[in-house]
Amino acid sequence: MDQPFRFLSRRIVLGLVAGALLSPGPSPLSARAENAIEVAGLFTGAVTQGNWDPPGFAAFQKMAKTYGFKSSYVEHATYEKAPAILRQLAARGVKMIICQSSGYSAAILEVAKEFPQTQFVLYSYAASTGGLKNYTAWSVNWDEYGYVTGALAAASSANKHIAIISGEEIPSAKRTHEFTTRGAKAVVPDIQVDKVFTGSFTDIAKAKEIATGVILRGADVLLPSADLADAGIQQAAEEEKKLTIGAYMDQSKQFPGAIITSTVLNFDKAYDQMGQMMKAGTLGGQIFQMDLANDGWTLARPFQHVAPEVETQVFGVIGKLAKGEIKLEN
Amino acid sequence: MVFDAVTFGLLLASAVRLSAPILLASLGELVCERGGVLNIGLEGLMLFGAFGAVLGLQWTGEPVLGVLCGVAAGAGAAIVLAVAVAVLRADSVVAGIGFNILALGGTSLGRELLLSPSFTAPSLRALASWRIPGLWEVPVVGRAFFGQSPLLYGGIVLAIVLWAVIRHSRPGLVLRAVGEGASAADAAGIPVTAVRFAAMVFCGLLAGIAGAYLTLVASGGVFTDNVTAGRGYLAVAVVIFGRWKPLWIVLASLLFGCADALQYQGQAIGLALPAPLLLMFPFLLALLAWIVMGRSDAAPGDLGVPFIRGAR
Repeated sequence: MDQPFRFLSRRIVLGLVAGALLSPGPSPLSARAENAIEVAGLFTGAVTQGNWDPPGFAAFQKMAKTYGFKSSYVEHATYEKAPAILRQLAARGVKMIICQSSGYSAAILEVAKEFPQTQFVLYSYAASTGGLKNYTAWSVNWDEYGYVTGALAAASSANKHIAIISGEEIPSAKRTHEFTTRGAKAVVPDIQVDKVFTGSFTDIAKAKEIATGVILRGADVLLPSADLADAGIQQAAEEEKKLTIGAYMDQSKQFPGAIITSTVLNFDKAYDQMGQMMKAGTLGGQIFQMDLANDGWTLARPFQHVAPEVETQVFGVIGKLAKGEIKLEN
Repeated sequence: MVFDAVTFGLLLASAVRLSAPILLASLGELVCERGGVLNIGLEGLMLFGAFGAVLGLQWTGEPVLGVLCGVAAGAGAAIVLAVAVAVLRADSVVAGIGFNILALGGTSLGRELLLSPSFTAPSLRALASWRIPGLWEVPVVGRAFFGQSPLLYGGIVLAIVLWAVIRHSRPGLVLRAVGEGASAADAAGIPVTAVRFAAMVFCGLLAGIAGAYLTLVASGGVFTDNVTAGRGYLAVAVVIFGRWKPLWIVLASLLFGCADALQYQGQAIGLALPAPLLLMFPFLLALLAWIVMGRSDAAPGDLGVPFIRGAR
């Protein structure tokens, strides 16, 4: 009575479970073409979710198609796993590995010197390529990004109280915090800026909880900088009838009641340059800035939920930065 | 650091909100453990519930049906685990860990295949917040105790019901008998396997609701890979911290909710502790619970011991 499945021994069950665990999972997208250069992408999250990886992945795919590369990618490539993944890809013969986060910088610096035949590329932020001839970075000017979004939030805040909420404490995020505060104070000198790290790029619930907290403490404009978890910040803003912005791509349709504007990064431009340089064999040892002046990023127009003067004021700041009239220095 | 009445009210509201999924899952785990099954697979059951809830929401557009789909997913997954643990006598810890890995991969695959990334969730306000008129506006405690999700209120009612059932009813006596001494219960004619199987399925139902809470209430209808982020393991620790008693578990959940809230709100209120230390706080508490378990005599006597008739 108590052993109706006696014919299935524990050994068989464990074998089945082990087999299921060890069986190969779904292979990532692969556009195979004989004799083509193989390129790979590393992404911190899923390429179909959130606002950071999907636009980058779309640009990656477009680049691979344009230049006839064989492509593959790795999702959820955590920073601690990155060295192993990079070694595996390089050892397999992948000629260009693109890592879409500044958090991968340490892994590239560690692994790149072991594989001189592979080009390692980083998109987000890098201060140095460590003198390596096979490491190239496209570095978004997060100083400028932070300054402009800080100015935007300050100009939009009725309470003179804003908050920037980020995911993990990676170099680009810490830098953005600093310059967001500077941008906000340049517009409203006595503004209060709450700066918080949630510790996760994917935990929407956590981000929402923190966002609700800062709203109830008085912040009326929230700046999300936590990738996939941004959705929690934007949900909180919409539910509490406060303001926020879209990040990295136009998100105005997702949270129409809360989004003033969105920052839009020009992933296509950066990835196309990577493809072009890979094809020409000119990659290596350089850092390319992606800033307002060279169309590396911009803000979506028109602004919503704020007075027209806010848009004018913010684009005034953008114009001055692009012309070099405002200098951002450490 | 600013720690005024507003901050205290926020911390309290946050703690209560964050305790909800842990409470629901730990009540399920309680039933399992009182029946002698240490269900480490709780994390995986919550993941299936979370995934099922979003799938149900996307298919039907109805939040309540989403919750029901989460419950069905949690229970369905629990049946699979119960077959391995209760029927086939697999080691509950090994099977539970394996099940959690399968759940992580299975739900991630399911997300890619079945969920639409462009889906815009309907309003989930009715599910997220039930504001009791007159009480909701009370300073400090109003938002914390009178503006929470109906799923949380259901969890508290359930804790009271479970207390009464486990302590004062025949089904509760049977459950306790199986957990304290399966061989003796078997000798008395109690179908040990059936009781443990049912306890695990009940646990799956509640884990499904807990998962649904995470995705539909806390995340606004979005499923992300590993959305549970270790909360299932915390729920197991809560049962130990609550000394296997339903009403103590409510308090223990609140304590873990506080620890969680502190990591969320601590930085915002300028608590002068490193952020990583705040982030690991609930898990330190869980570690403490596991240490306490080693010294505890309140645990069911046959907890984690597979029942094999005739074995001593």
